[in-house]
This record gives sequence, C-alpha cells and structure tokens, in this order.
Amino acid sequence: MKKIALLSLSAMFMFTAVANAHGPVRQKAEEEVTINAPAEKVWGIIKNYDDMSWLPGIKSTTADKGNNKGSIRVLTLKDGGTITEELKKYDDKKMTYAYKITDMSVAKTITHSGAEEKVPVLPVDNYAASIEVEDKGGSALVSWKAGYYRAYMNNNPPEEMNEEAANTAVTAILKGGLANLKTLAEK
Amino acid sequence: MPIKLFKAVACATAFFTSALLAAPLAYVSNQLSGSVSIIDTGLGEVAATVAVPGKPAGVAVAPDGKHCYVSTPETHGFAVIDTQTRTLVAQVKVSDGALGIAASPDGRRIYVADWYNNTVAVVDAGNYQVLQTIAVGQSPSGLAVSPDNRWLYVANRLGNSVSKIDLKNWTVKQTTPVGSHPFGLTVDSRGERVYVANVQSDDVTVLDTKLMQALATVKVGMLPYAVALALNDSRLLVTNQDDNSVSVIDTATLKAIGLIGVGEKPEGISTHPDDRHVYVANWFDSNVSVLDAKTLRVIKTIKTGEGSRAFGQFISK
Repeated sequence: MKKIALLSLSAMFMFTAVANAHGPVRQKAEEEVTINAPAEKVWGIIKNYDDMSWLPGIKSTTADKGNNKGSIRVLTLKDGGTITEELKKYDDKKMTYAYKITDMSVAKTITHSGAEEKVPVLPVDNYAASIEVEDKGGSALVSWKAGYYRAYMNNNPPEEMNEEAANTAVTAILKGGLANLKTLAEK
Repeated sequence: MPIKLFKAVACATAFFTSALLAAPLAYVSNQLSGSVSIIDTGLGEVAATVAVPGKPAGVAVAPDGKHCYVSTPETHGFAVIDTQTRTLVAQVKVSDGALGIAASPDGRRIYVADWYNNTVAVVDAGNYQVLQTIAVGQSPSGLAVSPDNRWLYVANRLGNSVSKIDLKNWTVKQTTPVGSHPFGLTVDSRGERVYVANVQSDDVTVLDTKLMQALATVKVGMLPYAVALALNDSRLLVTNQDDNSVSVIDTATLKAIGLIGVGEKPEGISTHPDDRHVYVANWFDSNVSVLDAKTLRVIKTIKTGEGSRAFGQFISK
C-alpha cells in the first residue's frame, strides 16, 4: 500500500515535471505614483543616472559616462551586493530614461536538481526597465516599468528563482522606490 | 405584405452582405493572460476572447480562414481555434519548445519550430499528426512559407542564420548566416526576397532567396522583433521592441524612410489583406496599434489581453 502510494506520488511528480517542461515566459511589472510636486522637481531627483540614492537599499552609485547612452552604472546595495546596468535611452525633455541590467552579484548559492545554482541579488534575467515623469499641471505622475524573465532559464525552476520570486522582488523595488520618491519630492 | 416582403429582402440582403463582406479577423495571442483576442478588423474592436492554456505565443491562420493555430510552449504544441464558433477545438502535442508556427498556402500543413530541440515539425493539418521532424539551426523561431509552397524559411535565433527547407523532400537545402539573433521573418509575394529582423544587431537582413545571399543589411531601432510587408511589397515595417516604434523601410532603395511610434514593447506584426493597414501587438501595453503604411500613422489602438505577442501571420485573408 505504501509502495503504491509512493509510486503514484513519484508518478505525479514526473507528470508535474513534464507538464512544466517549457521555457520561461517574459514577465512585466508596472507601478505608478502621483506626486504633489512639480514634474521638474521630481525629475530633478531621479534625472542623474549616477545617483540612485532615492531608491531605498542603495548605498552608492557610480556611472562611467554620466547620462550618455551606453553609460554603465554600478549600484552597490546596502548589504554589499552589486547590480550593473547600461543606460539604453535618455531623454531630458521627455523626462525619461531606460536601462538594462547587464550583471549582478550572487546573493546565495543553492542546490537544485543536483546542480549548484547562483541566485542573483535580484532574481531575474534579461531585465530592462524605464522610468518616466509626466507633468500633470502642478503635480507629477511617475511610472516605472520593467520587463524581465525569471532567474532560472531552464525548466523546473527552484522557488528562489521562479516567476513568483522575480515578480515579488521587482514589484517591491518599484513600489518602494516610488513611495520614497514621493516622500522626498513632497518634502 | 409589402412590409413582410421588405423585411424578408432586408434580412436576406443583410445576411448576404455579412457573408460576403465579413471582415478579416486578427488573432492576437495574449501570453500573460492565457487567451487569444479575435479582432474584427472591419469594426476595429475585439469580437471575442478565447481562453487558450499553455502560454500562447505564435499564431498562424489557415488559408481558408476556418482555423487559427496558436503555439502553446507550456503545453508543448499548439492550440486550434475554430474561427466560426470561436472556440478551442483541439490541443496538439508536438514537442518541448514549440514557438514559431506557420500554415502552408495550400492549407494542408502546419509547421512548428521547436526552440529547444532545434527542429521544425511538419504537421498534417487534417489529422494533426506529425509527419516529419527536420533538424535546423540553433533555436529556430520565425517561419515563413514561400507563396508557391515550395520553400520554408526558418530564422535560427542562436544560430544567427536562416535555413531554407525544400518542402518537396523536407530537407534543408541551405543555411545562410544573417545578423545577430534573427527572430521574425517574412518572404515577399514573389518569393524572391526574405527579410529577417535581427534582435541583437538591431538590423534587418535582406536575403536573395535564389542565391541565399544577403543583398543588404538595414539598420533599424533597438531590439527589432518581427517584420511585415505592405503596399505591394514596397514597404517593410519592423517592430522595434526597445524603442516602442516601427521602422519603415523602402524596399526599392533599402533605406529607412520613417519611424512610427507605437505602444510599449511592440512584438508581432502582420499586414491586413487590404495590403495597407498593418497591425502591431504591443506586449507591455497589452494592445494593438493599427498603422496606415501609406501615411505612416497610427490610426487606431485596440485593447487586447495581457502580454500580447502575436508572433506570426495573425490576420485571416
């Protein structure tokens, strides 16, 4: 009886594994906040690509080419991790810029399916984002959008590197960043 | 009596007209919401939404318009939508990484590219049996069949090449290097040229299909995804994912002549049978931009579902 239960359990596992054997699907996250401050003031806080001090959790930022396209910035997190990003688009007039993560440090190493997996500080892959400030006549609407894949690009991801982990982490950053920006701008 | 007769005539006329003038339908796969939006291109609105499990991505429409095939990577194959009843009528298993999909001009075959196994499956459109599996380059994605139904072109994304398959004997005749990470491709109405969007090198390779040689490489925007021809093949429109735009190329001079702003992360692109209007699925914005290839303007935006991809020829004839 026990054997049968075990067998059917393992059969179920196999079935699950097969059913999930597909490539990752690109995910997206989008957050918006209305800030009761002039758009120029809000843009003034975030406009320098080499200064991401407005985002909670960031210790320091450096960028090699300022606000020029192709500029590479390194965000050092308060816990010591790093995220490297390339500036893909910058438009001062439209108060927007777009960037892409090109490298990240490892947060932890886990064992999954018999192999060591390095979980990056932000559990995503192929992450691209853009932030924009819109003038709403006295107030500002800030939208921050990101498109990305989960960190684990093979089939059957571990829970640290699945879609849910990616979406939770990205949403927390976008929300936390915009909430802090609002606080800073409305001071 | 006259009223009755009038009614009968009006009714018959209405029926006749709608049967004759039924507008082509656009089938837009919404990967994140797991559905396909069916757009009535005459009304310019979504007429129906069909739930499709398996993270729908690629789209092909049978030449007679009776079926729409949607690749479903999560369920390893494709789904079949009956376009009259607008219901899901079959889910066909093909292989692990089904993504790119195309229907043959004679309606007899469905081709499915497998992203993981580096193959293209030939499927019988009558009974959905896999007839043959053809090895191609690494991570095949876009598929296009020549109008004479003789050749199948395959963009091999990680192979940085395009394969030309002979549909008479289901073998690869030739594989030609193109730009970096080719994804979506199309063949012109005379079967003489193939245009392929290279995601990583931000350009389009123009191939002479006879010689399988590059005629030109045309620079476009960031992360070009797919291509479509319009106005008697005179213009090529290219979705630039990271620029939220569509590049327009004059196919005579092979120069970019315009840029049309669309929604966020444009992906799938397909030309309406009127040969003038071009539909673009905006992945991030979850809508479709309708472009006029003549005036280079967006004439309408239609709300679809989450994560619209519509990779392939997604409008019925």
